[in-house]
Amino acid sequence: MAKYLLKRSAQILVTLFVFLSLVFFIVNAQPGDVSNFYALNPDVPPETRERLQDLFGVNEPLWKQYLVHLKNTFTGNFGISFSHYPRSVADVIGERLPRTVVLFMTATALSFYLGFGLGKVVAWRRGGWFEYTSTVSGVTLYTVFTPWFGLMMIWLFAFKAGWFPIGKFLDPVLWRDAPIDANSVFTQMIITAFAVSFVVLTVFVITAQKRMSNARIIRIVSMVLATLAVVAVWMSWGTVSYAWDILRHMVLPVATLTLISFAGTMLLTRNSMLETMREDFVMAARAKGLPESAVRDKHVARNALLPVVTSFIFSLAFAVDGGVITESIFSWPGMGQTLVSATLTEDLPLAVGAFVFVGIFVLVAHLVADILYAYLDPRIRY
Amino acid sequence: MKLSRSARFSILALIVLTSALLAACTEEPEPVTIIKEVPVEVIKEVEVEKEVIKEVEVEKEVIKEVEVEVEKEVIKEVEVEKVVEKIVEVEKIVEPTPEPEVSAGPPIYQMGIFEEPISRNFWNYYGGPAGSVWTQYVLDGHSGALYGYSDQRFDWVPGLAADFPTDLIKETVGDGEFWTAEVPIRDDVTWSDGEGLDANDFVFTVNTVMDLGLSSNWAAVVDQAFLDRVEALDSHTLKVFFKTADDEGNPQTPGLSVWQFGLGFMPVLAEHYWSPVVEEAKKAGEMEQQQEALFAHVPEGEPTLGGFTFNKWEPGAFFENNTDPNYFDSGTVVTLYDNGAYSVSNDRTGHSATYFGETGGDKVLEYTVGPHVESELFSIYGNQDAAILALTKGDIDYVFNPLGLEKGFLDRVRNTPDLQIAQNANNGVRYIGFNVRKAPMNITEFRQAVATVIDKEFVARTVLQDAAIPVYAMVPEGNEFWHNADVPTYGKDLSRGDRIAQAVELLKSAGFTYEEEPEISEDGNFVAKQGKGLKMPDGTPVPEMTLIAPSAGYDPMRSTFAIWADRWMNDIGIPVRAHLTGFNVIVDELFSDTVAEDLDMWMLGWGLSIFPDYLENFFHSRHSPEIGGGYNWGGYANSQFDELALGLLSETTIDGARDKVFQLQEFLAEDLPYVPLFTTPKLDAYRPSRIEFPYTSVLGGLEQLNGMQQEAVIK
Repeated sequence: MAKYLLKRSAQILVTLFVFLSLVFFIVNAQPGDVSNFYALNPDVPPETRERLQDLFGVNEPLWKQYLVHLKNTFTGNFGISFSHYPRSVADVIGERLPRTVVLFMTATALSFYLGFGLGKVVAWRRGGWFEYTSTVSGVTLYTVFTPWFGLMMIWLFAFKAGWFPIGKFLDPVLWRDAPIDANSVFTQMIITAFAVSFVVLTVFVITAQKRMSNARIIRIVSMVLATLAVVAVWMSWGTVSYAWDILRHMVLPVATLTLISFAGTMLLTRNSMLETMREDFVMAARAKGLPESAVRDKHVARNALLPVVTSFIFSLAFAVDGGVITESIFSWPGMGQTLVSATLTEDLPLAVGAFVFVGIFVLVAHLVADILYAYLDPRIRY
Repeated sequence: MKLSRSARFSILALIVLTSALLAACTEEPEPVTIIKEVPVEVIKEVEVEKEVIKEVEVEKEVIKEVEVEVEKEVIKEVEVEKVVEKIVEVEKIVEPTPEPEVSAGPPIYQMGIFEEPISRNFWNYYGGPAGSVWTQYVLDGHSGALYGYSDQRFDWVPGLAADFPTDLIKETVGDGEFWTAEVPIRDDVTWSDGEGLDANDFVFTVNTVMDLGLSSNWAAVVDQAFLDRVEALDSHTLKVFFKTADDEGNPQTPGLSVWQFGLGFMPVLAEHYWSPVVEEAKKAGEMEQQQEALFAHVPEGEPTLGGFTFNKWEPGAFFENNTDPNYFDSGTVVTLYDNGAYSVSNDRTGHSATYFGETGGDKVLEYTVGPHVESELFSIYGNQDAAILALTKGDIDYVFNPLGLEKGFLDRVRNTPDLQIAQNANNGVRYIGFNVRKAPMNITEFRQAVATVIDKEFVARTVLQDAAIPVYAMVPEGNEFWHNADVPTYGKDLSRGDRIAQAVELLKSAGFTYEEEPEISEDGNFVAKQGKGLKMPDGTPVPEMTLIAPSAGYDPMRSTFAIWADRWMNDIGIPVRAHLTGFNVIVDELFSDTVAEDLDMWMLGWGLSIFPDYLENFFHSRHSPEIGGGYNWGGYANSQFDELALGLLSETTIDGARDKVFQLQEFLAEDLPYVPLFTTPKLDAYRPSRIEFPYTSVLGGLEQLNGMQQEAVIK
């Protein structure tokens, strides 16, 4: 295993180098540079453009810029963002990342939960109206034009019905006197989510491994206790109303993302289940007289889980990339929107920095997925 | 039949979803407007038109409409009389009132922007990479200058100065000779932290710009080719020193663009706050590092002058300025009279002044300077669509649209009863430029033929449905004082046939010849046969040329014009191909080292300043890329024009400058280094039930005034 990990890490480094180079040259292949945006103001002396180019180093030869880029990346310094001058790229990414993580991880988790649950049922009841309804509606949503769907969601539920806010991630009137900034609340939300997940997962694994007879009760009690702990901690932080405001703003984008993406997981689960259902051990489980739900959930679904988990891990990795379309439509200033605006305004350090960050995250996710394979499927050994 | 658990769940979910959709799609009940007439005694002076009031009293059925008229007329104040009388107050009870959501709290002016400001460091905004229009909107209420423009008429009026400056005189001081002028500074002005403004603040600002070599807008207002220094004679008197000769020893005079509309417009920053920061920055090393150190400073508790102070910036969400309780101009009554007089008066501070005549005529505008709000909140949206939707819903009162309001959004705003659109002339022009270094673009008649054959009226009115306004002069019509309406107008109001005939005639008069001349259809409406084999006066064929223009994705109007221009030029045998491409590609080509060889024609646009010294920037030969690296990409060089343009820069009187600007426009409209094509109306959408502006009719629209943050009244 250690040898495999070492080999994979080396591969990742090579891939990363190729990726860094590609990103740099592709982003630089755009015509013009950031100074173009200052060029067409007759009040501004023309030499201003050259001074800006000097300031940003964009008039240096490309190979020189490339070397600086490599050096910066490997020393963890992505440079200064042109469009947020004089803030550093790391600072801008640090500001945008928690917002994207909260939104997209929530949506990804929800869509996988929904997709996996529906996929199981659909595979189990093949040929029924439930399968047709779920598949048709799922595929329709999966293939729908996302900007249109997002705008329709806003128009229906925010504009016409007035149930939710129109875009953004907070209500400025509420936050103008807030004693805390939004990123702190996002961080608190992430910490809470990870802490609760950890507790629940630990309890689940322990009760499963020890084969406790009262496992269900223990799990429920631990869930209740975790919830109470969360409430107590949030009350002590005094930021409940602000978190609630963010959650309110999350409903529409999360619903949109979940609806357009759950079908992928559902169909993947269904296909994987259908293959597994033909296995002999399933027949054996049925022959033993196990209840259908036990055969489905404990024998078939568990074995059908592998591709779904892989897909889930990759989705989580790509969640840090955000969604260009979703973030733009819902005015959610996360990584996706940052990438777009950095590219449009030729903010090369920020665009390259954001791409590289996502690239590193995805490469690491691949490694994690490989390790998880071994854990989930005892047949796989490296 | 017994349904399974999941089936029951599915049906329930379907019912819930259907209900939600039905609820959402249900038409909202039309607001019922109940109009009650309530006679009241007006206990203050009300300025309204008598006729309108009569209509209100008589025409009961049209009270709602008339009410709008009353508002409009008060804003315009065309015929204002001071009267004390009974009027009919129209009370509107609207049931139900789901929108707009009028906040019950203190008044907040809520505006929508759809890009993030870059920095709140004023040095960085005005002279560094933070100089975006979005930063300008949020920092507008932070600064002040010696002089500014008056409302609507754009007269040059004192701001922080107590009066106009003394006339420029040539004076020998020490071992040098200078143009000098003195400026009295108001003694009632305080920074937001209560410190008094004095002449040393100006000296400090100018010195910082010069010492740190700040560029961009700072370099435009502190023109070091002219300015030698400024000195504080006492705490409230400033003296400016301009050089009397340039670096080569040629005599020079600081004209309006250098002094009155240049240095006079310089924003002033507080010495007592910034001095330690600047001193620290100066230790950073080379000038570039010093600038970086200055721009990197994040102001905390920075004193301001413009009526607002920074409160909070939540990146990606909002930017908020609070009202400055010490704002010196708060409560000042500004009055414009129809005889041209302009007066300001503040009972609280005792400051009062009148310029351009006596205050005897009729008032054409009167309003009280605010801020009339507790704070101003700039909500940041991800795109224009979201911002317009928020405006329509009532979340915000006004939206900034520096790139204009798209047709779809315009229709949406027009269909929202609670919103109003203010339409104004725009101070900008979009044009076709020629590389006059190359044949045949170097032949005046060729350029005139191109101008003649392009039917601006047809594209603007018929194709673009009045979304564009044809222009013929380089100073747009909206800039009334400086616009010359009598410039030559090639092709204006000609039929297609006459247009073609005249263009062909122009080409032939310059010695161009055809193998086959264009043929016009019998009805004269189109070209039956395109001209072929066009040859230049020296007998060589006219080469294939390219017109680079923005694609529809960036500007659909310009791309439409380019396509039609391509067709019409080919009609008369000019072999041109419109190449629609990205904005960056065009700008890159214009700034490339090979612009003189590679460029043929290009189409771009300019946003313009009120004082048209840009005419010199665009067309003087010293601004050609091969000479000075300026904006004269086409390489236009005409000694007669150059002399006239330099004369404008050294002109010190308004009348003299106007005369020169008129001559320059005539010159350009005849010689046509650019063919001016069109401008667009400026459309501002706002919510009149929530917000009231003292006026909405102004060149460049409300946006040009940054949303009138100091003047807007939130109801």
